[in-house]
Amino acid sequence: MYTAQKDMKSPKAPGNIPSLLILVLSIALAFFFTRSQYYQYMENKDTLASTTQEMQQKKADLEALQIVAKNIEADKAVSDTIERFGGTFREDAILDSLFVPTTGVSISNITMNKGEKLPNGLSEANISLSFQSQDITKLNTFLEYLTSGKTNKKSYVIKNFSFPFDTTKNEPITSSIELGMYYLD
Amino acid sequence: MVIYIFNTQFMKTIDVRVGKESTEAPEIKASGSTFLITSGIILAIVLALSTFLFLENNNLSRSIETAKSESERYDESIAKLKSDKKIIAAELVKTNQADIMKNIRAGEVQKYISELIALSRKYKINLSGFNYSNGKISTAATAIAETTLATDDAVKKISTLVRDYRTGSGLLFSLSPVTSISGYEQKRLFGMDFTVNMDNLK
Repeated sequence: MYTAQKDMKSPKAPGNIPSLLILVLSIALAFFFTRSQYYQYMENKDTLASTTQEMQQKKADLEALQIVAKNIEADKAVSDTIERFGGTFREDAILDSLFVPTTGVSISNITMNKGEKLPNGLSEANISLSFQSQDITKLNTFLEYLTSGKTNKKSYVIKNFSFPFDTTKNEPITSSIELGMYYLD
Repeated sequence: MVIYIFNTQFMKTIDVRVGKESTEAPEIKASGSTFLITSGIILAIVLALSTFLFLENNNLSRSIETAKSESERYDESIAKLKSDKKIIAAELVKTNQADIMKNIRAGEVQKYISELIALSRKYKINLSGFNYSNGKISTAATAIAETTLATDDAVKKISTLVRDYRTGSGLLFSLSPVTSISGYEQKRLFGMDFTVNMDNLK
């Protein structure tokens, strides 16, 4: 080391000092700048990958929503399904749906309330009906209409129902029923 | 690598100078210039690498900013669409439609009434009263003996019915235990409680 230092100062080796300076500069540059740039580069690459992935996911979500919006406008079956289970709570719509003269059932009383919001985001209204049916066949037709009637714009969940069932007779039936109806509040 | 080259070159220079200083001056000069060239090459590599990384970082930063702004633009569009009540309803209905349909189907009481009528005809028993609540049905049954013979007990109809429910499969109802029967040989009365088997609901 001593010799090296001595020789470096020697006028006979003038080219070594700039070489050393260049080398030291290179090392310093590599250590203080290039290294941090490299780490920054790696970090940026990771950030770009995650940001791009996030962006692609959002793009896909947006496209899915745009398709839904388009379907609601274009497809009547889709808009009917939404109206059936996710429409607003409107008394007029409920009355129009229930009071249908062709069912062979005469509704005497109806009470309804907005019920409560369900954990799934929709709400369930409670509707109680008192009615008289001509016979058990008409009763079944009416129940079919309430739950899955194609001409009915709503579908109701039968929650409670009792009536004086008698297999030996087919007489007019007076009864009451409790229904649930899904809607969006 | 840099340190290795540095050491190799530097030690070579030292050796030369210590041992052969006076006799091999051109060689010393050659070693010095080799060292200079090597250092220059190292600096050039470091500079090139630094420049490349610097420019690439700038490009990446720009790309990240672009992706973020695109992402924000998508967020705004999504928020705008999601504020539409029809879209909210569509999303909720789509997510919950299977459960909703399951609940509606579970309440299709007309199918249960038809099943009870069929059951009444099959076992020749009379049913009276119908109560449905939360997937459970209850009714009262009356079994009347086919003949007036003393050996003909109406309870046979009940045991046949219960046996079919205990041994059968694919039935719409599960029959709860029939724990009490009243009446006399010609006329037996008992209560029937059923639970709907949703898997067998057509």
